[in-house]
Amino acid sequence: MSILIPFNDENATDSYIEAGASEFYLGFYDDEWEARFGETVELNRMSGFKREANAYPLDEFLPLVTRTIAKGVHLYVPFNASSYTDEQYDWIVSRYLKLIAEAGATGVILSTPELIAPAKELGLVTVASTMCGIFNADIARFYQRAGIDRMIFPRELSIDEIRTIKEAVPGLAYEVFLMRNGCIFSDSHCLGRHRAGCFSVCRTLRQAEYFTDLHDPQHSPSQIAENDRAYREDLFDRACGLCALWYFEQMGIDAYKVVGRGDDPRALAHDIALIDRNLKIARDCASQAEFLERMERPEGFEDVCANRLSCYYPEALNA
Amino acid sequence: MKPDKQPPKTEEPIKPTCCIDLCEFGAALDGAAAKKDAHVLEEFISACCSEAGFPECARIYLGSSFCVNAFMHLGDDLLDALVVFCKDYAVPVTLVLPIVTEGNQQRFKERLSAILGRADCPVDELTVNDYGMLDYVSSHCALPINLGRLFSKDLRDPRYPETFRTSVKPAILTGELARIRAAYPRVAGIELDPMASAIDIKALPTDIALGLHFPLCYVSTGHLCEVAAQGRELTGKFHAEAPCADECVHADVCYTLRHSQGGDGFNPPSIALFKHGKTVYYPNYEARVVNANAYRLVYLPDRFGWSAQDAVTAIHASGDTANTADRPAPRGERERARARRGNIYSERRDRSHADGESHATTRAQNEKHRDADSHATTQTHSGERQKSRRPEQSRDTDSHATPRRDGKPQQGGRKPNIDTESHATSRRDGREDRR
Repeated sequence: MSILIPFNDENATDSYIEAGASEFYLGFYDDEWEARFGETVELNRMSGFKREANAYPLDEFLPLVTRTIAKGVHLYVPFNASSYTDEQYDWIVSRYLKLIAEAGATGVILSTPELIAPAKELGLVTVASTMCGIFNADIARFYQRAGIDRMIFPRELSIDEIRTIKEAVPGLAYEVFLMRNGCIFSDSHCLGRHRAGCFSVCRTLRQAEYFTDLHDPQHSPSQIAENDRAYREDLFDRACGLCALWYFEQMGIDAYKVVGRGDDPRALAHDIALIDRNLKIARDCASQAEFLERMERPEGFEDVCANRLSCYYPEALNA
Repeated sequence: MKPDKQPPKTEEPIKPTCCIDLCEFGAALDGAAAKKDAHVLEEFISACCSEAGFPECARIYLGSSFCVNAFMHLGDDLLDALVVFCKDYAVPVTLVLPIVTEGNQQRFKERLSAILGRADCPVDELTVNDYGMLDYVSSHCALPINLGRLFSKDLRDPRYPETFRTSVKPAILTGELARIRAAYPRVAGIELDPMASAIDIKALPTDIALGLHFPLCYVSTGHLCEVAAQGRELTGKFHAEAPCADECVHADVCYTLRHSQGGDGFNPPSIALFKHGKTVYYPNYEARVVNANAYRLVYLPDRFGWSAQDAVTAIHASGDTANTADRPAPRGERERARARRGNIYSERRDRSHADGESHATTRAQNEKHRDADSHATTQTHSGERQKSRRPEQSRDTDSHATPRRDGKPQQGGRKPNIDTESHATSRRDGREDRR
């Protein structure tokens, strides 16, 4: 029941810990990787954002891992690009994993099964990234058999689905998403480049000229216009999920993941503290209804909560 | 990722096996099939063949790669019609299975079991799109298995021409495929999207069938459906895998990306994309297969929302799809035409781009680029590799050679000319005729 956060600025470490975070994930960049495989080949999902998302080169990153772990927190390193070639796998195993393990990192966040075994041999905890798309118990079992220790549920799953998978595939640690950046597509199957320039595909599409091509309209123009606006302007505008904390605490979710490697550290610390306060409330409540009554909602969320379009788990409000 | 620059060799072009993709069409076709029009499927497939320049349909893909609702809405009326068609033409069916969220698992598996349990089921192979489904069908079915288009996760982003205009070697072929086959020996094929200008499949094992989807490349997909939410209350919109009424049959979302939407110092050309259901696609008529000796070309019409509906409507109105080009163009036809110019990049110089160094691609540039790629294609067809590809050729040759039942003429009367280059060229010519 930890709060897992992105970490991109050593100066913010203490403020994050003070706010309630106890697990971090942190990527790095390596000029040798770029030189060997090309500037557009990702080492992790956010490599396209360059130093904004992966601030440290490998030689600075490794001692930073050691210093951060010394503060009593856990730290995970993502290798979660959408795909790797075998040559890239070999490079990651031979050049990075051992160094990361020696630096004291807790584990690695992986997008494919290929790196599970070599990481575990080094004593690293293996975490299935959202890129793995754990949408059902069959997929979870596959990764469990492959040796994964922990996995994150995709944003699209409902509370009931999360509970069902967790019960069907015991023996693993599980994470869920909270706050900040929602996705209108699935992380696991969004194959546009996430990088500086055009940013994500969803962002581009939301800003693009568009029209809804109706072959046989089923709904009124006003309904369609409202739908267009809701999809483009409101959906995950302020992604949340806090209302589901009581359910997740009841089912024993192991970590709450907040994304935003390139986000403002102060805003991130604010969200961590809000989650932490609500976790304390949730643990003190006997029911979801009581939690909804007592929970602390984000500032200015009256409209956001009313339309439910920023809810990862909108059904939590039905209690 | 670097284009092949070796000099070309002149060899006979490879003729791919011609397949029609009915995935995502299920609801539209089922509605027509329910009216017990015995020819609706035949006419529709014939129209698709005509559009694609295929001499015939050697295989049908049915189901959905992207949407569990689309799969679940495959009705018995459509399946009945399909059984008749497949029996008449000796055409086999690949059943494509989407990624299913946990809440839909049980009913999905029941439906899958019901389809495969039909005594007259024409399905002879399955396509899966995730490890869980691969595991499930491996232990519950005896059919050969293809790894679907969601298994290959090479980035494909037309907003970055410098990465798009390359010859891509799919990462899954470098080792992952071999490891999957070691664990799941019934994996017999792989499906890829036209993710770049050229798809280099030199690393593909000789006994694995390749299905290249054409011309649409999916770039992003998910489990939230924009158009299915159109009639819902605000608080009920955009819930993952919510039940729907096949709204995607009636609506697509078309996008035009402009130069001005790039960040600082970034000037993408204008690009047309569109979303059908939960999935965003771009049409890529440039795509070609490099180092291929045998493969399937899996055609899905690029206008597939209204195309399916209009084709079916036209069938019922006149019993003939040949004249669909003469009917009034639906709303959006002009914009869609932009995406059908033979290149995903607009030829127009965008007015917002004022520096005179437009990245917008001209037709001449396209042709030059295609020529360069064709060299890369032809130089790779070594006789040695062709011989080694016999298992795959034999696997599909039977259906490919199946004659049409009654010598029925192809719609439009276009002479088929299918090879690694002409699937792009003939399609483009066909489009220009319509404009």
